Amino acid sequence: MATVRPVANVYSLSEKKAVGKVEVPVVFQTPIRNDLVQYVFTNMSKNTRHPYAVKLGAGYETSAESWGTGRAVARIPRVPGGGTHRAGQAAFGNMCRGGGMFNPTKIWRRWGRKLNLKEKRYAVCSSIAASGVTSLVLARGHRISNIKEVPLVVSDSIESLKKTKEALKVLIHLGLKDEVERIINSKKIRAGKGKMRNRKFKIRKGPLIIYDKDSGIKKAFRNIPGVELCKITRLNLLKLAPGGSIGRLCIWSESAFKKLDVIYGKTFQRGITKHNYILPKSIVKNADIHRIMKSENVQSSLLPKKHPYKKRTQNRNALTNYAVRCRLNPAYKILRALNIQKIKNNIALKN
Amino acid sequence: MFCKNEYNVTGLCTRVNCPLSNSVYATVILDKGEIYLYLKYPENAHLPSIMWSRTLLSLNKQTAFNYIYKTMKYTHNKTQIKKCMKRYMRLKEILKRTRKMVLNKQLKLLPVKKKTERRDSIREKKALKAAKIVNNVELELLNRLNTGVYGNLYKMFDKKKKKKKSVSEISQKDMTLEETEDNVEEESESKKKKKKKKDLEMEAIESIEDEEDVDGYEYDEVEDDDEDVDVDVDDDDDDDDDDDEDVDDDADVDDDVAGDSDNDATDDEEDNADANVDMEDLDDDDSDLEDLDEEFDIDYDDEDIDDGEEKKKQKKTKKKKRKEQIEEYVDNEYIKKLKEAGKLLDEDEEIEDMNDKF
Repeated sequence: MATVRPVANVYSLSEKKAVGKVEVPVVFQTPIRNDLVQYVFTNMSKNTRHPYAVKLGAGYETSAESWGTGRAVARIPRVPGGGTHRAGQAAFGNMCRGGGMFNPTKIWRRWGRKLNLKEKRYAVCSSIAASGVTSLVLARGHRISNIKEVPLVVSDSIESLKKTKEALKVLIHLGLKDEVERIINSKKIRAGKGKMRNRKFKIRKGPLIIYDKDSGIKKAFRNIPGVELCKITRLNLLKLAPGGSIGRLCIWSESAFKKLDVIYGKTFQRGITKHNYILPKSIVKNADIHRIMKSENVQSSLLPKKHPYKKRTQNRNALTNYAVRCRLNPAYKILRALNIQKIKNNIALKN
Repeated sequence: MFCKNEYNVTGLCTRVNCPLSNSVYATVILDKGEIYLYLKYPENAHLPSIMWSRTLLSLNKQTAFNYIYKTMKYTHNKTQIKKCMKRYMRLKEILKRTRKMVLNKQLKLLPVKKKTERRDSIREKKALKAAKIVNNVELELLNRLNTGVYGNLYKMFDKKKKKKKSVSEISQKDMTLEETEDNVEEESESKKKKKKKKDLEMEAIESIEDEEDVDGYEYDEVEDDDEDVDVDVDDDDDDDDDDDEDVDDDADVDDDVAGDSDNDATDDEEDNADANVDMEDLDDDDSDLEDLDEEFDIDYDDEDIDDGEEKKKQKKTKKKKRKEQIEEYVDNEYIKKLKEAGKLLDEDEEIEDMNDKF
């Protein structure tokens, strides 16, 4: 569970300081379910597909009939008539020249996928929450080491920007110079047939700017490579979690940030608040089990640690093993010394 | 397996070592020759610009370790502390090694590009050939000689002035021919055989020598060429070497028939015959000879009919004369005089130095 904070700072576009404060919406506390996000993303991304298929009667637009047996030819249907090369040639089969394909593609293929509304909403909420965790945004690959705060909330004056130059300046002012450079350098020509299909260039995804009211912001930012724009009322999972990976860098305008609370039900506003939608709660409030186990509350209530009995290894003979003997009888050391001395004295006396 | 994050202590990508996964973390990082302790606390987790706090560690191991332990004692794991200490030691090693490397000469390995190397070497050779060093040096030296830089030192290389004789050369030849007619027929056959053995060049050389002998004999006044001296001989080696060279050259040039018996009676016949024969072929050979004799002055017109013994005497006398003459050439006293006078330019000395090096 993401660390809960009550308040986020609102940053100005020109000065390097906080202009105001906003309460962080409850959405940012939804459990981050990247597995769910991935599932929802893969299915949701199928919904924009255009149907493609082979022509319905392709390969069968002839009146071919098999000649049957007895003609010293294969039994495949052959084109009737005469006077052309085509007469007598094989037709219809997928192996024949000019015949139809095996299992022709059909337009009534199931192109899109249905998803439960709750699933979709859960995914979006999860991705919003993930965008509020610095580590996840860093892990996704955004260069945010110089940003002031996550989530990044900017004053509403960003919505009325008109020029792309100003927009770029704003981004750099916010600390996103590395990010922009990264994206610009990442433009490469795609490998494969995509080149012929209007997908010549591949480029990284940059920050997502979420606004409330468009008074020029869209036109200002849309030409900057990597930058995408999204209205707060129409948050799109395909933009919040591109490729199914959570933690996209999001720049919120102040009013957009405030509206999140309205959308997800903390404050009601007719037309904006989602109907009958309660934000998902986690089953486990604190999923950090290790931290729980090591916490004082738990540790103090535990019994003292049991040490396993020392496993007996090889038996040492105390009579022959000097060390073991000494361990058992501490006085043995002295006794032995005395005895040795005695013997020596006796020998000396004899001589 | 390995973590790309710059704040990772160990460099391994594991849950325990990941700086992103852990809200409480510490590393030791080397930044521009200084070792810093970086600490991460959960209080600043949401403020990325302040998230990592760093302090400079002293290069003294004890103080650094004390500091690390004290700061991390209550907040971080023991293992984390140990990892930081180990990394600190490693960074110190790195610093030490970089210092050593900077002090020592760094071998930079450059690849040898075959193509360019091959191309350059070939071009060098071509340039060398095109420069025509030997020819240019030769010209330069000659110029210097002609301009009079060397004074009287190297006069032997000057071209001889032909002296006009009262008796015509052709008439002299006729004289000699008449006398030796008898001998010619008898010995022509044997000589022809010998001729076949010899090379034409050899004949030419012999003819030159014979003629030279003639010259030496008849014209004492004229400064003789070093007839038998090779072209390659240095000017410095004048005195003693000439005598030896004369002998050697005679031996080499004469036929294989008689090695040391050149001065015997057989020589007369050979020489005479050769002389006679050469007479006929003289005109043909002239062009060849002229090339050889730019520096040497040789009169082809005259012949020598005398016996070998007489020739010997002639040679001896010639040698004496030569010695005398040669002694004149390299007169150290004269050189000293020139030097003192300042007439000898420094260029000569330089040239001598060059010779030593070669």
